Amino acid sequence: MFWQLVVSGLATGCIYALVALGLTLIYKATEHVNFAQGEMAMVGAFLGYTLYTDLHLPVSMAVAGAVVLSGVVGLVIQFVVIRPAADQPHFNVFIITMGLSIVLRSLAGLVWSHDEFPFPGLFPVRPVTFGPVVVTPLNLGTIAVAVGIMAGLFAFFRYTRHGVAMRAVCERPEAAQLMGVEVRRVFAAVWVLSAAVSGLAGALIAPVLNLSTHMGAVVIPAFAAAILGGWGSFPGAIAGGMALGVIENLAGGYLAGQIKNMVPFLVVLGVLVVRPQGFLGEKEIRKV
Amino acid sequence: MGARDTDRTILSVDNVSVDFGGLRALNRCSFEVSKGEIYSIIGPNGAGKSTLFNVVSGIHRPAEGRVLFRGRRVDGLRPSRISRMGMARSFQNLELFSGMTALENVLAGGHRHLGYGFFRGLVFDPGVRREERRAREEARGLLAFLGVEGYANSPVDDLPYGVQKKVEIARALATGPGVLLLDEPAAGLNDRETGELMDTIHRIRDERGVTLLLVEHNMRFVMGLSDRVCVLSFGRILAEGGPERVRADPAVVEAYLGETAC
Ligand SMILES: Nc1ncnc2c1ncn2[C@@H]1O[C@H](COP(=O)(O)OP(=O)(O)OP(=O)(O)O)[C@@H](O)[C@H]1O
Ligand SMILES: [Mg+2]
Repeated sequence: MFWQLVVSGLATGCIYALVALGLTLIYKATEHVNFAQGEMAMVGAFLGYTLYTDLHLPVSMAVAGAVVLSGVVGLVIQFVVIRPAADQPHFNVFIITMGLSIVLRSLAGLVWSHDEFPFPGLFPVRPVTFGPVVVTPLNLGTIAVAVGIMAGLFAFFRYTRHGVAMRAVCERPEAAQLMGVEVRRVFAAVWVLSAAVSGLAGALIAPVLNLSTHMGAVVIPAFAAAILGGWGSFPGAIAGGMALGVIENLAGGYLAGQIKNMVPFLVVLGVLVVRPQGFLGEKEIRKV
Repeated sequence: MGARDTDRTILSVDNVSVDFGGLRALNRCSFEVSKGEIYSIIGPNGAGKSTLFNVVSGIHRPAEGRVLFRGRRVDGLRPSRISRMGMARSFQNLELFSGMTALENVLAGGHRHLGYGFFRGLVFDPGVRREERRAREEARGLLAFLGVEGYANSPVDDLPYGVQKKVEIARALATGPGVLLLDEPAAGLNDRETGELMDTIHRIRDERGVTLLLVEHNMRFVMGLSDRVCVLSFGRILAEGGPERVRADPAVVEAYLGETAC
């Protein structure tokens, strides 16, 4: 029972981690907090659903297509909504992204309705047994895909100069500009990446939750995950997401099912009291 | 140095003023720098030297006047554009990308020489890998040129100050500049390091054909290195010419050298 809960918690946690990674990408590069991150995941999943049901693509192609189309959605959002407001105070941009989350949900409702749809899984749900542990290939596959994408992102940031330039912009946009890096282009690229990663998260979780316009609520545990790991830290977002998924599942399994939804809040509250910088975050040292 | 000799002029600052609110940090400054020159700007604290660098590299917009780089107007252009035209700089207070290694800092400097786009970078095909290897070799070569290749894989934050300054110069050189602006490169260095730096600056000019614009307080450094010196005080140019001439200029002696002469 314990290990089942851990593995399925880890699978959910990987989804949180991906969305938290999307939040962190945007935050690190632009210092904007994107409240619409969950709706971006939701729209990505719906796009995959359309590719699957209307264009009859195989599931894997539909998921890949969802990732690509999500990137396009991210680019459009960046151009139309975020860039014009780039010089506004960060709080205004936060409010804009809140509005964006409502708009995306309404638009998705118009296009696909607010019903729930069964979403095809990339992997079968019929459980398999590993010694004492019974797990579903869906859980394992979700973990594998998420971990693979995260590893790929790390390689990108480490081994390509576009990745290095993006990190440079995150550190010091002004100095990066003086190296010839087009900061505005990097911001656009960050939104593309962030939206694509979230779209993947949406397509991976949709088979579990059933596809609906309410899926955007995943942004709340993603925020909790990012804060747990250390707000603004990439490894923190990933570790925080996985840890939160497992904690949530164990609490739901051993205590009471209803506690599950409260766990993200309790975790955030606990972290902010015990270790405000999160577990992998750096303590902010104010230079005087 | 004929001021009208436009073929040889690589950078010209023409009647430039910069205002910060009510403060006029630069007041109708004009000078020209020739290709291959080592040109220094000196002056007391707050004279406007860093502001001059900021306006030349595109961080500030002049209230009036023009900046011409390689015969083209660059005032008002984005810093990234000016950088890609071949201007690089270091900063008075180091602006290294913390959280990255020395090598990665230099790689970020070479960003504009990328031969592949962002999405191909995500695919990471063999062509991309080849180019990344070449870029890394170049970056290592630049660190070696500055004598700090041994620190390539250390996080820059952990490096001694003198090494950080060299990494910053390597990063600027990675952009492949025709003109390099160094803001107080010798500040905080000991005598030996300062001597090495003078040597390096000569090599940057002689081996790489880079024109240098320096801001520096260390007089031995400035007088030993510069082809010409420009003296700035309260945002105005007091004098300009060879080191000996400037040193002897009465206005300069009064405004500046009088207190800190070597
Ligand atoms: N961004 C800014 N906003 C407002 N005032 C500024 C700004 N940058 C510089 N100043 C002011 O402009 C004047 C010139 O500053 P600048 O930094 O160019 O001097 P400097 O010659 O480089 O001095 P130092 O030798 O101390 O580096 C100073 O009075 C400074 O306070
Ligand atoms: Mg200065």
